[in-house]
Amino acid sequence: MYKSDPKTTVSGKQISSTVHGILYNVATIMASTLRLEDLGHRLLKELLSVMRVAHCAFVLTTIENKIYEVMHEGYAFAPEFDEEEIAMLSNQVKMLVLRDLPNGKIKNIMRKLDVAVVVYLRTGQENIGLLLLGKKLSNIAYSPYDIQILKILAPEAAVAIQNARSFEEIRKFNVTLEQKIKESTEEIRSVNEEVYKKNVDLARLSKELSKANEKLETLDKLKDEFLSLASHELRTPMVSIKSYLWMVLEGRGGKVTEKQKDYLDTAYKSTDRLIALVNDMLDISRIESGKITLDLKRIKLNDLVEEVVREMSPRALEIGIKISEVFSPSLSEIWGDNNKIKEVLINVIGNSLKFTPKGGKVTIALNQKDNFIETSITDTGTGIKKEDLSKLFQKFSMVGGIRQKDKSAQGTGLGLYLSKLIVELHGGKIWAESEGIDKGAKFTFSLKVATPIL
Amino acid sequence: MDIFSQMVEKIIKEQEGIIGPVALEQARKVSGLSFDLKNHKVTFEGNKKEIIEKLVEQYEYLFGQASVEVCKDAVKSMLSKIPQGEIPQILL
Repeated sequence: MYKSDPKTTVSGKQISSTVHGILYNVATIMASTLRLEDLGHRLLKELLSVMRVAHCAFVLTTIENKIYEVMHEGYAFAPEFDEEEIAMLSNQVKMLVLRDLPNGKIKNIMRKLDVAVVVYLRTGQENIGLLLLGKKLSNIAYSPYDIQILKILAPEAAVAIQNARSFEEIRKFNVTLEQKIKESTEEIRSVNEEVYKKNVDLARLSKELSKANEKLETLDKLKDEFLSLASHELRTPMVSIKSYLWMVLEGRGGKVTEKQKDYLDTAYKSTDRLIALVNDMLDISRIESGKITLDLKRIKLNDLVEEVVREMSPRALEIGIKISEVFSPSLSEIWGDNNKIKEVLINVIGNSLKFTPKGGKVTIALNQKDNFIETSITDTGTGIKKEDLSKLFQKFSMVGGIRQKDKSAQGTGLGLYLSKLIVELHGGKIWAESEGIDKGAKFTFSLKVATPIL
Repeated sequence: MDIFSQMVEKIIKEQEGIIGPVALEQARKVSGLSFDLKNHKVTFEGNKKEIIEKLVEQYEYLFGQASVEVCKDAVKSMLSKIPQGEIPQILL
């Protein structure tokens, strides 16, 4: 049974003076610390002293009524609070005084928790927790004066606790943030190190490449020197040999027997091939190294084809092949190097003549397709196996050997390759078609139409 | 150009070859060190040995031990020209 507290008899003036004293102390505590734990314990100790209670505790909760933190003073053992029971207490509207409560669940919870008074800590509409106070040391009931003090203190304490809690949250957030920054910095540093190591490898490779490049440049220079040598020191005597052979064959050095003529003729043809080979190699080298300059002009392909056919007709006639051209009357001009395109025509037509038997035909046709003019050279020759078509335009292609009708008329093996380089240098394409062996072949190259003069 | 200046120039150029202009930016952050690599000018304000150590540490802070190894490699042929006590410890 609670007894009435003698303090209930004190005057209003005395209450006011005591409340002021308590508020002053509480204000001092609140001003002296922002750390939640420190603030909570100091407030609890102050309450123990002022209210003369056995124990008291702050049970701070979240918006969802989950226990956030518990601080206590005066307990012999650390109290344990059930979240559900605290939630039930939190859901009450007014301050709970055990003595004034009717029997029921709430009263039972308070008994179980050894709590005589439950004070709500609210800031505005937000419930931030409970202040639980045990019985008074004097074993007498809480007086209206005590209740009055608690009513005044509760909102002040709630605000202070809320501030401290916010401070605590900010502090924790800062710690987390610092930790995260530290972790991120470490991560960045680690990535930096990896990138750096890769850069070191790249720098090393770059140095090696630079050295290799220097070597290649030297080799390129040597190659150029060699080609220059081949051009001047090899081609010149070859031409000289060819001339002398021609003179001997013509009988300028005296009578030549049929046998001698036969031998000299073979030597003459081989010299001719050798000169062509040197010329082709020089051209290829210039194109591959990008040292060739095209003399670009507007070209009427009809005229150029006619010129080439006229030049090659005697040779065709000699070997019994009919050579003809099919013109398209309204053909646009192309933009190209006349000599180079002529070289392509001679190479491809020459190739067809080489692989067409006596009595065969070689036909040159021109067609405009969109912005390209296609020149096709069709022969009734030995044809090409499908699997060999792609090899035709390779350097020193052996496919020619398969088509060969006359071994003595061997080419350099560079003509079609050189033609491909020239056509591609003009932005065109070259390709070959054949239905197979003995079914003839068709070589086509396309060249861009020149833009019209405005 | 004294040997310490040559070391600084070699280290920065070597780092520049790996990380580009960042190498110059980082070197400019080293207190007591100023330079004009184009004109081969390096100026120290303070203890040269310590400044070189700071320079290497600046790279180490960002790029780790690999960058220290690069610095060591860059100046290894110069170390024999410096009295033992004057060699920046980080480069040993």
